[in-house]
Amino acid sequence: MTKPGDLLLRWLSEEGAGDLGEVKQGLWWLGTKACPNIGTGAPGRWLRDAVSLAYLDIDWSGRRWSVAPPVLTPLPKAQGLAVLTGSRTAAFDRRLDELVQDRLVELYRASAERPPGDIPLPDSLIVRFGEEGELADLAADLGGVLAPCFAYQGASLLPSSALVERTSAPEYAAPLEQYDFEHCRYLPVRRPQHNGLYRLKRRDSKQVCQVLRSGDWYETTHEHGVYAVLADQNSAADVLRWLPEEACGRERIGTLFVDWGYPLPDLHRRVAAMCSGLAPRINDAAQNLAYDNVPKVVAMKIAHSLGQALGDSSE
Amino acid sequence: MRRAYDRWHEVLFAEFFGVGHALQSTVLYVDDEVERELAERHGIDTPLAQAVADEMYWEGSDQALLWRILSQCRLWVAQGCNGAPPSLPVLAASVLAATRMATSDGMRRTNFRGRWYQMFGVPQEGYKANRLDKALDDVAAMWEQLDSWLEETGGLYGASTVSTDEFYWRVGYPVSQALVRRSDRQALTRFFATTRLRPRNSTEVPGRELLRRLTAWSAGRDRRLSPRLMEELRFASGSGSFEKGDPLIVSLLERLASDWDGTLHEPDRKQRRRALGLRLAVTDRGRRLEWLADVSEDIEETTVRIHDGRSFTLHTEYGNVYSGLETLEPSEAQLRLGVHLEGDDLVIEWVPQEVVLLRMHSDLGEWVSTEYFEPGEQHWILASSSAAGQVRSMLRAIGTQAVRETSVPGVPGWRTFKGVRAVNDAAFINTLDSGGEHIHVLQPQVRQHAKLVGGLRIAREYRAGSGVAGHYLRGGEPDLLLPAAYSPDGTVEVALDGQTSKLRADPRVPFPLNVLPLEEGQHEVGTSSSSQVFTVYDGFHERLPEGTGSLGYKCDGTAAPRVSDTKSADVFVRGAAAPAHTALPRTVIVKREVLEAFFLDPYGGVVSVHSQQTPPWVVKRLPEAAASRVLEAEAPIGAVWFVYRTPQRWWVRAVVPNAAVPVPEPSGEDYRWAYAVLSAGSKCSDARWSAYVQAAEAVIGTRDRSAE
Repeated sequence: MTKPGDLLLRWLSEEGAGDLGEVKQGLWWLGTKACPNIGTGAPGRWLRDAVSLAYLDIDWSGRRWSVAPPVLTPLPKAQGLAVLTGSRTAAFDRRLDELVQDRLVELYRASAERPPGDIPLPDSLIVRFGEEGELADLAADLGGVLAPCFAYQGASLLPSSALVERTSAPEYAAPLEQYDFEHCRYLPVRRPQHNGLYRLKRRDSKQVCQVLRSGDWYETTHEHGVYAVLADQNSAADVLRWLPEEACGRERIGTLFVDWGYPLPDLHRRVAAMCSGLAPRINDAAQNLAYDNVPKVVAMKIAHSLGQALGDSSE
Repeated sequence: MRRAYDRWHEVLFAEFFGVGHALQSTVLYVDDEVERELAERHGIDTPLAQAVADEMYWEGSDQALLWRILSQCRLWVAQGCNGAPPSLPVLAASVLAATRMATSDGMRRTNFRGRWYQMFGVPQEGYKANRLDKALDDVAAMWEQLDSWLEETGGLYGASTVSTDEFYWRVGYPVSQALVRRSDRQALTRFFATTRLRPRNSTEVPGRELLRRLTAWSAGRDRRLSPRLMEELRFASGSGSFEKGDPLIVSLLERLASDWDGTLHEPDRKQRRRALGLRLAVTDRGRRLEWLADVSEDIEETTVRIHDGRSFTLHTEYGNVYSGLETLEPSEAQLRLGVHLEGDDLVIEWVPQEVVLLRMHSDLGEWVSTEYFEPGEQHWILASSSAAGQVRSMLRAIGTQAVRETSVPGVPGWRTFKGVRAVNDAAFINTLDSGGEHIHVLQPQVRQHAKLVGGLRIAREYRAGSGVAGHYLRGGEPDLLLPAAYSPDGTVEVALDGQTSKLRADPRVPFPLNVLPLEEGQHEVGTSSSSQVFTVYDGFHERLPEGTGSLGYKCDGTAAPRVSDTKSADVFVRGAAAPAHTALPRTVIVKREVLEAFFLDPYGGVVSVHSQQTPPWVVKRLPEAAASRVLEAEAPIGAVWFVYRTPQRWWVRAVVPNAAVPVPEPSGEDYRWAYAVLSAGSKCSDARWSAYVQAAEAVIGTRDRSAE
C-alpha cells in the first residue's frame, strides 16, 4: 500500500498543476486519516516542505502550483549520492520499480521525521552512482533530466532580499498587522508607525506582506520581508548558523541551522534542502531547523543573499 | 345578503394568497386566535366552522356532504381557475380543527377526526360522524387542488407548503398547515439564515437535517416558536429512526426551505432584507477569535450596524466571505447574548449558544463555526464555563484520545477543545444514542442520498456530463456518506458494484472507501436506494501531465524572488533543475573501499587523496545500506588520471572519460609520480595510459642509471 506522503506526491504529479485551495483540501482529507493529531497549518507546512524538496513550485500570492519535472541531481560532497526529485506519476513509479528490480539502479528511500501533527512527506529517493554518465542514463530511462548539482548551482543564483517593488501604503483604517520579531508573529496594529514588516489584505482579497522603510512601502513575501527588515536592523542577527561535520575529511561540509521565526525564502530553502535531498530536521529544544550536508560555501551564499552574516555555533 | 361562506372565502384569499404573498411560502394557518382576529377585522359574525357547516348537505345521503362546495369547485375549474378555489373556507376549517389537536377531552394529540367532528358539534360516533369522516376524502382532494393551483400559477399567489404523508394522507394536509403559524414562519426565516441555508435550499439540505438543526437551535432557548411547533419538534425528534417514515414537520420544513428566498420574513418592512448567520472563527493558530460572515448573494458591498451605533462596511473577500468585521472583537457577552448586525439590505445574526462547533475552512485555512459534525474530520469545540464539563465528558465518551483543552482567546471562562474527532465508530454512536444537553454538536448531517466526499480527485476535466461522480487516485478513494435509514437499528446495507457486501453501516459515520481493495476502473457504491458511480486509477499519464513545470523562477543572472509562468523562452529554475551557472570541479567517485589513491597530471604532479568517513547524516537518516564505504574526490585542476588501490588490486581511471589526454611530460625527478603510475601500470590497456607508463618507466630508468 502506498504511503500517505508518496500517495500525495503521486496525486499532485498526476494533476500536474492547479489551484492551491484544492490541494490543501486533499492534503487535509488524507492528513486527517494519516495522523490523528493533525495540527492547524499542516497542509501549509507540507506544501512548504514540498517546495523545499523541489517537488513543487508554488505561486503563493496567485494561489496556484505546478509540479516540477523529474530531476536527478547529485548531492554535494555526498560520496556518490544523488537525489531523484520532482514529479512522480504512477508511470514513473512503475519504471523506477522495474529499474530497481533489474538492479539497474541502487536506490534508497528515506522517510522524513515529522511531528505527529504534520502530514507525512514523500520518501526522499536517493540514488548511488559512480559516474555522472550513470545518472544521465537513469534520468533518460525515467523521462527526467540530469541537472548539475542543484545545491551549488542554485546557491549561485539566489536572489537577495533587497526591496525593489514599490507599492502603495495600506488603505487607511483597514486591518493591519505588524510582524513582531521578538515573538515571531504578526500582531494587529491600528496604523503603521515604524519601519517594519506588515501584513494586510488588499482590495483584491489577496493577503500581502509589505515593508515600510523610511516612509516608502515595498511589496515582498513574508520570508524576504523578514530578512529585509532584519538586515536593516542587524546584519549579524545570528539567526543563521553553520557547524562543520566532525567526520574526518569533511571540514568544509556541515549543518545549517535556521532559527524559528526566520524562515528562509522558498528558493533558499530548496538550495539548503537539496544538499541532502532531505527535509530539514526540526529541533524543538533549540527552536531551529537543521539542514544537513550543506557546504560552507553554499551556507555563506544563502546568508549573504539575505544580508546576514553566517554564525557558527552548535544546535 | 352575501353568504358568510363567501365572505370567509374573500377574507382568507386576501389574508393568505394576496398580493404580498407572491413567490413566498404560504401557510393556510388558522387557529382560534386567527379566526377571531379575522372575524373582528372584517366584521364577520358567523364563525368559520358555522359558515362551512351551513354549506353542508345533511338532509340525505343521495349527495356528498360537501356537494355544494364540490360543485362550485367544478365550476371554478370549468371557468379557468380564476382566483382562489372556492374550497378555501373548508380547508381553513380543517386547519382550525388540526390546531385544536391536543391530549384533552379524552382525545389523544394525534386524533384529528375527533376534533373535526367536535368542531361541527357532531358526536364522535354515529351517522353524522360517518358523513364527516367520508367528507375528508373530498377535503383531501380540495387540498390537492389548492396545491396544484399554487403550483400552476407559478408562485403568483404564493408557494405551496401543502404536505402530507402516505400513512395519514387525508388528515396530513390540514395538520401540515397547522404546524406553522405566522410567527413561526418569521422565526423560521431567522433559523434558515443562522443555519446558513442557501436561498431556495440550493444545496438540498434534507428535511430531516433541517429538523435536527431546528431542534438544536431551539433547545433551551426562546426562539419565538409557537408551543405547537415546539411540541411537534419534541415529538418528531423523539421518533428515533422514523420507522414509519418522516413526520409531517420534516416535509413541511423541506418545502419552506426550498421556497425560502434568503430574506427575513418581516411583514412590517417594505424592503425584504437578506439574512445571514454570523460565524465564529479561531484564527492565527488558535490565538485570535474573529467574527466571519459568508457573502450574501448579490451583495458585494454593504454596511451593517450594531446596537451601540458602530457601523461596519463589508467587502467581498477571497473564500466567499466578507471583510470588515475585524474590529468587532468577539466577547463573552456577545457569545452569551448574541450579536445582531443589520443594515438596509442585510441582517447578520449570531444566535447565542453555549457550545460552538468549528471545522477547518477549506479556503481560509482557519477554524470556523459549522452546523454539523463530520465524524471523519477534526473539529474544535468552544464551550462556555457552564457547558465545558459536559463537553469534556462527551469527548471522553467518544474516545478521542488527543483532545487538547485551552482557553478561548479574549473570552474568559470559555474553553477550547482541539482535535475532536470520532476515531472509534462504536463509541461515537453510543455517545450519540446516549443523548445529552449538548449532544447536537456531535451530530452528523442527515442525508437523503448517498454522497462521496473527500478523496484525491484526478482528471477533473473528464467529469462533466459523464454520469460519474468523480475520478479518484487509487488509495485516495473518497468517503461514502450514507443516506439515513428506516431500519430498526438505524443501519443500512452498503452495496458495492451491485453486490451487497454483507456490510451494515451506521449512516452517521462516513464509510472510508480507501480501505477497500478496489481494482482500477469504474465502481458503483451506495445503498439499494441511492448510489454513486466513481472510478479509481493509479494514474492517467504515461508522460508528464500538462501543467508540469508550468511555474518556475525566471533566471537573469540571479533567480527572481517569486515564481512565474514558464511559457516564455527565458531560462527558469524549475524544481531542482537550475541552469548551469557555475563551473563545478570534476569529482571522481569510487564505490569500493579504497586503501590509497592519487590524481596525476601530465607534468609529474601527483596529489594523494585521503580516505573519508561516511557522512554522519547518511548514517543517521538514510537506510543502512547507503552507509557503504565510498570515496569521493575532487579532481585538482590539470589532473588527468586517477589511480587507486582497493584490497584486491590497483585501478586506473581517466578523470574526463573519452577526452583527449595530454602527452606526459614529467621531469626526470618526478619519482613519486612515476611510482604512482607504475603501481597501476598494467591495470589499464588504454593507449593514452600506456604513454604515461612509458614516461614513468623512463623516469625510473633515468634514476637507476644515475645510481649506477
